[in-house]
Amino acid sequence: MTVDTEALHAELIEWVRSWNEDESTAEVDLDTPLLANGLLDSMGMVAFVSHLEERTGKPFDFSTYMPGPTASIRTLLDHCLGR
Amino acid sequence: MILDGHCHVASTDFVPRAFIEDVVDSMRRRLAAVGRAPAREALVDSYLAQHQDHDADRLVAEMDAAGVARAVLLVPDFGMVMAGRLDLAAMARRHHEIRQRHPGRFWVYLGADPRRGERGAREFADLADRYAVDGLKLYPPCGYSPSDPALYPYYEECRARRMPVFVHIGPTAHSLSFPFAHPLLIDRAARDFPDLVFVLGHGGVSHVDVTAYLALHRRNVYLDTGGFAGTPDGDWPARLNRLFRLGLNHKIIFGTDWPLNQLSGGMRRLLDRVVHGPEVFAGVPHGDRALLLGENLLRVLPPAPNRSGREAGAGAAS
Ligand SMILES: [Zn+2]
Repeated sequence: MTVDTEALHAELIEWVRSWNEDESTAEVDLDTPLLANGLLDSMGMVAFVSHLEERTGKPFDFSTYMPGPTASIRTLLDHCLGR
Repeated sequence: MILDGHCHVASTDFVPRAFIEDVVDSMRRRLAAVGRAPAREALVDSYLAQHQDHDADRLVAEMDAAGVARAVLLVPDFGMVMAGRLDLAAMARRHHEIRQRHPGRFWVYLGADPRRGERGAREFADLADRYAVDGLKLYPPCGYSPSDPALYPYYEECRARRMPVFVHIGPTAHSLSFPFAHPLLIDRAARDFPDLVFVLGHGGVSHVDVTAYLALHRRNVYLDTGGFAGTPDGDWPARLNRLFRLGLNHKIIFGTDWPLNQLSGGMRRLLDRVVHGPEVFAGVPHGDRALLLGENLLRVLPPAPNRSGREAGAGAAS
């Protein structure tokens, strides 16, 4: 499956915004640390990674990378795409 | 020095698939409530992928990053209710190998189930001696009371080796039995074995009204904080702070219940907030920190090295 990265970036930013139901005042961009900034908790991370897998059609490889406090939309997507 | 009194190796060799599926189903129900439930199979695969740390290398890296010197590895015996990859003897051997691979980093509490009878107690004792096991881990929601007389032969073996008994209390996988997870069920055994230490796993999180008076009034009952950051509302620092201001800090053992928090920033983020955050130790006497973060655990562990059946002397039941 080929992925239109730019469209996907915008969609994922929107996903994180809507997960927070616009309650979060933190600006969300591709490099915002999602856990450290409180945009995602563990349940949010499960939902986000599941969404990534669904959209990219690729399983997230947890054996080589476990999302830490600095994980962002960009690092998670790149890892999922194997980049 | 920080010691973690409650960890598991995140490996499908030790955690039954049925248990992981239970966890997945609970998560899916929560996600479904907000309209985000992923396909079940995909979520099961994702959780299985997070349980491939078979040699505890990733756990050790987490401990290093978080400043945790040493941790207790708990090995529950789910074998009577859930099929697992390995039997108890194989799990004991594997945990022994993990300890050899990471010298000085782990203690091990091995599981048991009273329905395995006196033979099970002898097997537990043999494994404990062969692999220098440090404690007994019980999981009563599998279907028994921790005061079941069938456990007493196991307790005798523990007493002879001055090993603590770690007892899960409170909620767990939805297919297991919650009434057996009530902390008051320990009372009979705690009175019958006054020189054996019982640690109520999650006792600092669930049923705290009951566990607190048990720890206050039963000299051999301790609490553990395992799972403190597992609550959905994220308000755990305030709750931990309340717990640490109950006048019980000589009876509370700090534990994370790793890998519970592996997807929310790992051990380092957790420990940063506990040790350096403004909330958890606010108003807590400074000297209590060392008790909570390590000294209480050292007091309940058997004298090292734990080799074979010595008679119990004065233990930590004080
Ligand atoms: Zn646990």
